Amino acid sequence: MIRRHTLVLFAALLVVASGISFAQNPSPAAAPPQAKDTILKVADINGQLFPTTVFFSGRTATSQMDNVGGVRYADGHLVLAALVDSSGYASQIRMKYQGYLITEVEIFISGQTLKPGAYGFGFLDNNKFVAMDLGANDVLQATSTRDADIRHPMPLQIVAGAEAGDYRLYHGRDYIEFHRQGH
Amino acid sequence: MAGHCASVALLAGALCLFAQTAPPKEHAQTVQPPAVYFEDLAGRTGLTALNVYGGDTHKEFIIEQPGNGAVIFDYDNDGWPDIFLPNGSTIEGFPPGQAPTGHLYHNNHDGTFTDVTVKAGLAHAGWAQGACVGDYDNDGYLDLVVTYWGQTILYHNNGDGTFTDVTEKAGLKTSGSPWSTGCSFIDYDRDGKVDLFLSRYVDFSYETAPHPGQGLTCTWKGLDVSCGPRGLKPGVNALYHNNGDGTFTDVSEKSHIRPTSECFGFTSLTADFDQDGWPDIYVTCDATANLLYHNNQDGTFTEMAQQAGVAYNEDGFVQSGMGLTAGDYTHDGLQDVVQTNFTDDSPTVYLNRGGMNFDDVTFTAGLAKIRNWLGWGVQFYDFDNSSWPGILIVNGHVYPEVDGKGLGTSYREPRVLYYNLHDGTFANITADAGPALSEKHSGRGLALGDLFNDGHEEALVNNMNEKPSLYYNTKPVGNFISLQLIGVKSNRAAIGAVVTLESGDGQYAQEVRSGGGFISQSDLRLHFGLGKAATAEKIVIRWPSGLVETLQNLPANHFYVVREGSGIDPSMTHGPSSTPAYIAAPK
Repeated sequence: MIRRHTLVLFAALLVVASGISFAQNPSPAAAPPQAKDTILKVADINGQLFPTTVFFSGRTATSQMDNVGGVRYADGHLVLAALVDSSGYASQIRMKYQGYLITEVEIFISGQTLKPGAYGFGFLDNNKFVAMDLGANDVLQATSTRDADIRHPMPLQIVAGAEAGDYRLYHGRDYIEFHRQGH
Repeated sequence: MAGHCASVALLAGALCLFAQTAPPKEHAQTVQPPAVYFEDLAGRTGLTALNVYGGDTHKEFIIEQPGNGAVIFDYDNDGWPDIFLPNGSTIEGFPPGQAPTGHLYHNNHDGTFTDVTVKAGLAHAGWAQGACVGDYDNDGYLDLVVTYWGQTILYHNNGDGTFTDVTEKAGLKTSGSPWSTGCSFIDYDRDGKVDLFLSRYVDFSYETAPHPGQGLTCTWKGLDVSCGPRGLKPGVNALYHNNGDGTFTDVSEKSHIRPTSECFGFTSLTADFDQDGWPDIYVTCDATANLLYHNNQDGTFTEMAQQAGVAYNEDGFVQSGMGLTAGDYTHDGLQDVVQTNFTDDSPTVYLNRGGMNFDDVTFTAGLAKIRNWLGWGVQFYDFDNSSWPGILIVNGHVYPEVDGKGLGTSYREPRVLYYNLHDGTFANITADAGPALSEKHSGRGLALGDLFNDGHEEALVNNMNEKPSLYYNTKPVGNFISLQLIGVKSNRAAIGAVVTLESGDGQYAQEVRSGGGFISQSDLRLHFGLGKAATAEKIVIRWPSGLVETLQNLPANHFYVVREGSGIDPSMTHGPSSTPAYIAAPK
């Protein structure tokens, strides 16, 4: 049993480590001159950019590859998010750990900083958003906004915000806005 | 409206825009629900065989969760609908010769049924799931498909009361053990021969499946429970083209069904949702986005559930779709949708706005209040012949382990009956409909049909690890007409035909449909309640071939047989039969 846990932990660390090494080795050369930020959809991300399983708080979970989104900044850096299979069936109790966020750059959410890394996140009752480190410790809490105007909301999507350089991470009708340092 | 959108190009934009933004049709007068009293007649009719499906106090694997559909169809063409109830198995299995099988019940025309399973050649053991009917060889007798975890079976109806397993001969043999759940016959290319769609759930095997508690997806509210569906690999839906010589060809890839079928598929049904004359396919998906395959009219489909607004609920969340029904509850001629979902969620009502646009109107329709039951079979159900279909939902949890845990739910759960208030809303009248519906069962399949030919439509329920239920409304009901369509150029069973009852009250459309409920099959005859009307003023039939026929001033309370191109067949049309004597006098 111990050996099995060790193996799972090792594999999980590899997953995280691969994300981090990717973060440290962006390929700005690949970005065309004067390139603009690109919003990434499911088809852009697929299994290529986002890990199919992720590690969080001692367990691995399957990423929902049809519920992923992201931003590729003009310099090639990425912010990616996906929902994860954190239970066999959902319940009305909104779990804290709903999704997984990978950011290669420092981003700001409600004036707070989220450093490059991998995080668990959840949109909770009473308009709360929480990001957690891989040990399930809260590292950022923010107030989410409810968007009553979307006709057909989706479980997860990233779209452009109101200001240039602002992006919204949506979970259904709830969203938080983020931007990169200097934007 | 949407039909105009499809055919009048220049005007289409404006009309479709209107269709998207128009509010639900509203009627000035909200009605009061009538007196309704349901009795469960199953025991008195002879429907007594026990369903066997997995553990009853503990379920180790997800294969033990879904249960079975229910089928009402007239297999011997005697004008009296018969019943088929698929059956399952257990993980432990059974000694040779003792395994449970599905049951075919012959209608004795006197309110009773006789189990003719063995004589009919349908005694087959295994993990059966659902079933559907259609006449794939157009010989005039309805054939039967039974889905399985393992090999799904096509039974050819021999026309003499027996069936033959023609799966291999028909080219439907599959490798491995795909877990097919829902099925629907559909003439997607309108060549007059019904094709076959299969929805699939999970890529499952005992060898690879984790056990309760082994991972995040093997717990629920702190309980160790059977794992999945999240965390498991989804099955892959399939479409088979009917070659017209008794064989089928797998066209899943070519038709674009396979590449866009990432879902834990349960119930499928077919409907011409955008009224373009070509049948579309809707699949409820468990814990994944629903699928809506729009027919491109060239042998291919485009999956467009998200664009159409039926992939998720109003808040953009994935639901756990189980059962499915389509019907015109607002009398605008469009097929609306209700699907049942997991517990801690309500059923979902999708109002069809036309032009492949739906809105989740669950809250305003009045179905958002009950969230503690786990829904399976669902049918739009005109149980008082008012012509405004209500909704019947059967429930039951997937985890027996929830009992006694104080979670506000239970393994066995009551049915829920909604009355259509004619204004786009429904009233829950379960408590006023007699005690039978409030008795708790782990219900699954649900099919409708007028089994006694007396003008009352019955609701047949396949209960997990119990005997079935057969619900009959003993209170007086309104007038009705029943239509059996016989295709000539179209497929013989007329699957895909759209029949619209036009009156001063709007237009009420029904389709001859394969699938729905929860992996079930209702009687193919269309039952139209007429309320107090003595005649059906105008009936418009759009056959799958494209032929449009109009019938006028049909006297109420008759069972009509309509042959494509030649109208009503008087020799096969008849009035209602007497209600079986054992049914209590109206209370």
